[in-house]
Amino acid sequence: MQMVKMDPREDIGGRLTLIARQQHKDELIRPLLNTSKQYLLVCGALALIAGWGIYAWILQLSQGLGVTAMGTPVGATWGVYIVNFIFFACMAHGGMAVSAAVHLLKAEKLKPIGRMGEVLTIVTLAMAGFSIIIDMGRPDRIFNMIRYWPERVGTSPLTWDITVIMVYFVLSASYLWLTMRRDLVRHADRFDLRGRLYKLLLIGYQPGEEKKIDRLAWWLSIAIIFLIVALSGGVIPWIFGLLPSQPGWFSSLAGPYFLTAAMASSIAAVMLVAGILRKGYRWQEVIKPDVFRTLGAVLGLITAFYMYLTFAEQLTMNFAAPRPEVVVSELVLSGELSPLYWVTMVAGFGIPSLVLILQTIRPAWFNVTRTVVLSGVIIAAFWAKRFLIVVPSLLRPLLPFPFGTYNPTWAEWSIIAGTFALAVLLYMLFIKVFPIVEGHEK
Amino acid sequence: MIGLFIITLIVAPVAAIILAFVLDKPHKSRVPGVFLGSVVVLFGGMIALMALLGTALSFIVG
Repeated sequence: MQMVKMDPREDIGGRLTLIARQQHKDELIRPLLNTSKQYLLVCGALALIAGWGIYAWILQLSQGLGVTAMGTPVGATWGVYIVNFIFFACMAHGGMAVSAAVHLLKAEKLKPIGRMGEVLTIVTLAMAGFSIIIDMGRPDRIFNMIRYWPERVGTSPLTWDITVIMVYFVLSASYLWLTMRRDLVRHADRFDLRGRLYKLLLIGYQPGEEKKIDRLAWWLSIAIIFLIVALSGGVIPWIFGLLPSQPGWFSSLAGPYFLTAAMASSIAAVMLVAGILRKGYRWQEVIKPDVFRTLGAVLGLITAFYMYLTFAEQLTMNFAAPRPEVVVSELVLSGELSPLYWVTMVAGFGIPSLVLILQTIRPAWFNVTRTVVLSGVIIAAFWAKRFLIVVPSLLRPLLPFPFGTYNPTWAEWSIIAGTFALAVLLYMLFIKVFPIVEGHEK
Repeated sequence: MIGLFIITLIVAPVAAIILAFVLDKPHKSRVPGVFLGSVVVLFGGMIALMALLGTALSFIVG
């Protein structure tokens, strides 16, 4: 009997492979295909909170910064808005760092969360910029930052900050757009309205451009890692570290201290986002537990290192430092801010980092949900720690003013809640419009 | 002018890396042009946004 040689693409196995491939493709764009009631409810709630925050901001704009608890000369002239700025700006780095690691170190297992990190960077950088605008007494003069840039760049760390943030934002957004084009081509014909948007974003597309885009991703990864160090380990900490007039801030340790915090908080944020999307879109097969195991180990170690830096900072401030340094340290260690400090250090950093390290040493103890929850705890702790960096120094000034207090008003809390809600809302809208997981097929 | 030195220290390597990418293989591609175009558009967009926002806020700020 003569055997008939069949085209492998036509046999049952081949067809099953094609079906499986299609199912895999659909799995990756699940957020684009289905919209649940829960999704709409969450978006509605976030829009309400963001709207309330905008109302509070308009109130602040019309009545002035008097609606806040910030005050001068007694009290904190920088409050929760600057805390928010540092928090968001530093969080912006981990996302791109994860994506850069995928391209530079060929860390393929992190690939499914690469774009989640890139989008996190864009959203949090936008919120960082927004937080600065909120903090300004006259935000209508915002364009002066550009107009007087040449005069200010020589001496103002804030101008360096704005410059590097703009460069970082532009490179990150271009990076996200170009690395996403492969997926846009793949899905452009599947959707009507979104498809038109995809085609618009595919301007200048040429078949076979992927090789050049891979090279772009590789080169930009180097530039972005360089900018992460320059921003989180440079210009942001220098806003504080270069000021001898503020006890508690003036320190050469500021750069590494901020960089470590940025890496930890942003890796935690990527893990939290990945954990929520994995659960929400049933991506257990797409985002494997190994992703959380690897990042959890890194997060545990970096957080422990951050605690060591905090200890080194407090030791320097207490051992034989000038009196103003000791006064600031006392406010944090045993004064009115001590409950926040110790809860942050023990429950926010100590216990989570210990658990993350232990589950790295003992892999049998590893658990994805616990790792994601601990990431959330660490993120909250870093917000509180930024508060403990910014505010105490302003409440115990070097100049002979009485000691001040700072309790943020409802307007400040509303605006802060609004920025967080807006950040999450923007992220959720993005995943409804664009593929959030990079396709695996070449 | 420590500030200009710092900005140069940061921006110059980034510009060098971008140049390295543009000159990198494969040569026949529109990607570098598209990328540089997006950089220009985004920078311009951000500056324009600042101008617009400043103008819009001037109507609210008392």
